[in-house]
Amino acid sequence: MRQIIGGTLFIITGALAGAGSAMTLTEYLGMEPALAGSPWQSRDTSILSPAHPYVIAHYLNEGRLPPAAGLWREYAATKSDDGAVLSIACVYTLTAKLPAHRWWSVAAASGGRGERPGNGVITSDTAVAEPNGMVTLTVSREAVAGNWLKPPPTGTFSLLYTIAGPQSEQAPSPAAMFTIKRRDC
Amino acid sequence: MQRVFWLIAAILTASLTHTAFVLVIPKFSLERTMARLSTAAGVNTFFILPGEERSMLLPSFPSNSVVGACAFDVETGPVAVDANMPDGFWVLTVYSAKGDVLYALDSNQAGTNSFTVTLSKAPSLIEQLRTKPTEEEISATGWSVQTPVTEGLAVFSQPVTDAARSRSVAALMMKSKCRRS
Repeated sequence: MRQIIGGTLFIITGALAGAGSAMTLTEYLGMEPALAGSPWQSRDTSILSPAHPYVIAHYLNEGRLPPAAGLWREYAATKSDDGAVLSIACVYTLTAKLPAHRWWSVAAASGGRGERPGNGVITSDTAVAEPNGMVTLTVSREAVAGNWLKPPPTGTFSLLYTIAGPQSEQAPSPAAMFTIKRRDC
Repeated sequence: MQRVFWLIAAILTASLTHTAFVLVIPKFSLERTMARLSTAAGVNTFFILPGEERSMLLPSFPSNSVVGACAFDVETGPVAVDANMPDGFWVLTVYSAKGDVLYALDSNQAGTNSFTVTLSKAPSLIEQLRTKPTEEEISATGWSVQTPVTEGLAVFSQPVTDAARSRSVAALMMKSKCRRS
């Protein structure tokens, strides 16, 4: 009897270890920072990536379709440049100098796993750039003048920055990244 | 000795569980999504995704975007997708039932808004060695995708911010067809 109980505990421990390692690797393996010190991170969805099964599993587990490598590059940020978690209690300013004629979007998604994404999305079709090519977005609960992105209604959130990839004629140059400055809280 | 046995059993269990969580459960999740999306339209039929499904699958697209799809099954023969896409930036991505991207192109790469993509089952290694393609088959490979996984999802998407334009884009995209070829 003791042996059976002991053996069962071994099996249960093994199963938990397998599941835990899979969930951890699915969440973190294959993520690369966009730039040193930048809060933006991306997942390499190329089939040649050693983390490919985990990257695909990450998207499918979230109910999403993986972006096609070479056609899209997607970056996610859950923190601002100062390392604070993105929260609807604060106002954020995103700034970047983006190449013209390249489709991009920035979306504000709910922070919880499995939650439905917020509807706040701004794209290159509607964002207004300054004469020098700089694009400034404001993420806040209250509407503001200029390029305004509405976050989800509650809690923390993440930002998804998607840009047409290098193989698309729309995107001959590398992606420019947004800085994320936390303002009023 | 028994402890070693149970330790090996635990390691095997961990490996199997790990593999299931990485390869099986996500695939099952996608298959369930494909079945849910194609419930009304059926397999090998083109349909436009409702708004909530669209936001879940493609959260980086604005809410008025138009996304069409065809859940295909090429087990019994090739499937042709006759695409009728609107002007402006659009993307076609063909996924296998495992979530791998089989084929992808955008409006600039396509150079045309009306085209046909043929989806077919990839021949096995033995079939490839035994059969020599004809010249006609070689010349027809430009708009074709061969997949080792017979089920999948072809997704046509155009990001749209204007609600009025969204309706006209959807009406145009609905002229697309997915059929047995």
